[in-house]
Amino acid sequence: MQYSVQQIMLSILVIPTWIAGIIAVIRFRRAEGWTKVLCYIQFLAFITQAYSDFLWHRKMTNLFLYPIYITLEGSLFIWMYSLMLKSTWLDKARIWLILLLAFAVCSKYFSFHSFQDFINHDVIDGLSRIIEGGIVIALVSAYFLKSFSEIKTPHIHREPAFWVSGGLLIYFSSTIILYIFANFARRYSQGFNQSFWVVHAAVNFLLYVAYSIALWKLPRKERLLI
Amino acid sequence: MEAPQEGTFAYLILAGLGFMLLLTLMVVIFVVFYQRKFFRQQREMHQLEIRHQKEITEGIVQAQENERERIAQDLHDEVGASLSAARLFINQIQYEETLPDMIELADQAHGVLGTLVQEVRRVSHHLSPLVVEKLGFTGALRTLFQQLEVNGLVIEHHFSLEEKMLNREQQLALYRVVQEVSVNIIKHAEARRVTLELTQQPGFLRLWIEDDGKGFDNPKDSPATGIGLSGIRARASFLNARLTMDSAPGAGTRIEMLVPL
Repeated sequence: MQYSVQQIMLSILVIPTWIAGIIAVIRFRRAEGWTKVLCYIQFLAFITQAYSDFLWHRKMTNLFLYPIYITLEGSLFIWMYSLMLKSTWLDKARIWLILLLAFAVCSKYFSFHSFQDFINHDVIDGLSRIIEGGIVIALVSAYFLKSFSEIKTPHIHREPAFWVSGGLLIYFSSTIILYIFANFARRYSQGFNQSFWVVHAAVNFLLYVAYSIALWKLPRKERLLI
Repeated sequence: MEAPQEGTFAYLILAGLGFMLLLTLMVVIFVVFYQRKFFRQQREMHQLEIRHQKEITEGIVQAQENERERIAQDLHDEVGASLSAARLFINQIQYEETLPDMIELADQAHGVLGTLVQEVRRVSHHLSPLVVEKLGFTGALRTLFQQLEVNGLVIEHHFSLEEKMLNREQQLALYRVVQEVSVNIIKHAEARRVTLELTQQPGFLRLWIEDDGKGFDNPKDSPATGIGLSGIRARASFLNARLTMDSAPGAGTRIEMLVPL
């Protein structure tokens, strides 16, 4: 079986997803609060990537994973930021935001007659990703605003939350353009589509490098000395 | 119309993505640098605040020391001296042989003790905030001026304020400031005339004190520095007031205090 240059690049650029997943396993015992949720996000990405690669190698469509992944990942992001920002407003709005995201993502599939139709559908759910991106960018902006109002350290780049938020801001701001044109690129030509996803994988690479740094920087749990 | 080339699309999308990537990278870098700068500024402000608090504490301690010194001096110079004189007169009575001489000595002792009672009352008034509570803020100030005028000082005063606008602590602090300035004028300024104005203006109260004394060149060279000024500063700080002092040799001294209401 021969792979194109783009396919090989896609396989290489996905490596940080595995690395971040492994670091999440190693650091899981250290994690608490929002960092625990960050680990769950890595486990979800790890499992989804593995299953999606399995389907891809078997030449089967993996696009049905998109709405499921977006709903779960988006919900975890909302949960993670509600713990990170410690905002009472976000604590109350958390469940409604998750339900809103789930409805926005799933409403498109209510018209499907069977589960098989859902499994076989062949459209990239770009709109759901854009909605998720909008929510995440708003949460990241709230984090940066809070970091200005409650400055606790001169070196914000040593904080895991900074790496997570920076990575997410770069990823979602950049990929919004890609998701707007994702279905168009798919129909335009195979070569263009593959190049398109190589670019996506490159930005995704940055995000998972940022996740890995954040997880690596998790501080040790303080032990009580008796 | 010819369909756009694949490369054109790729370039357009890549350019858009590159622009967004650059923009967000700039935002992240800005956050890192701005946060560091902001932290440094906050730390400097915190240090300034600590320094300011330290100055206020030192001022309060200094003011307390000065107050104790003044009480000790008053007790020693006035009360102590008068009591010694009275004791002498009373002691002398036993050695006198005629009744008129005894009566004269008793009268002298009575006079000294009368002066002493007044003196003790003066010291007590000076110490106790009861005078403000009994007579009201402006009433207490008028009484203070009457006492000062005994020293030959001419005091012109003008009050234009509603007393209820000031709470008890503010009234007492302002009274102490006027008291402190007055003592400095009597002790160091060699002034003959003092003008004092207390005027309420929208949002603040203005205290203006002017004397025609010898003045001084630099507030640091002022004979009042370290004696009363630290106490005045501490009280101005307590009132969140802005204190300005203007003086020149031979041109008197002007003090203005703006107290927010």
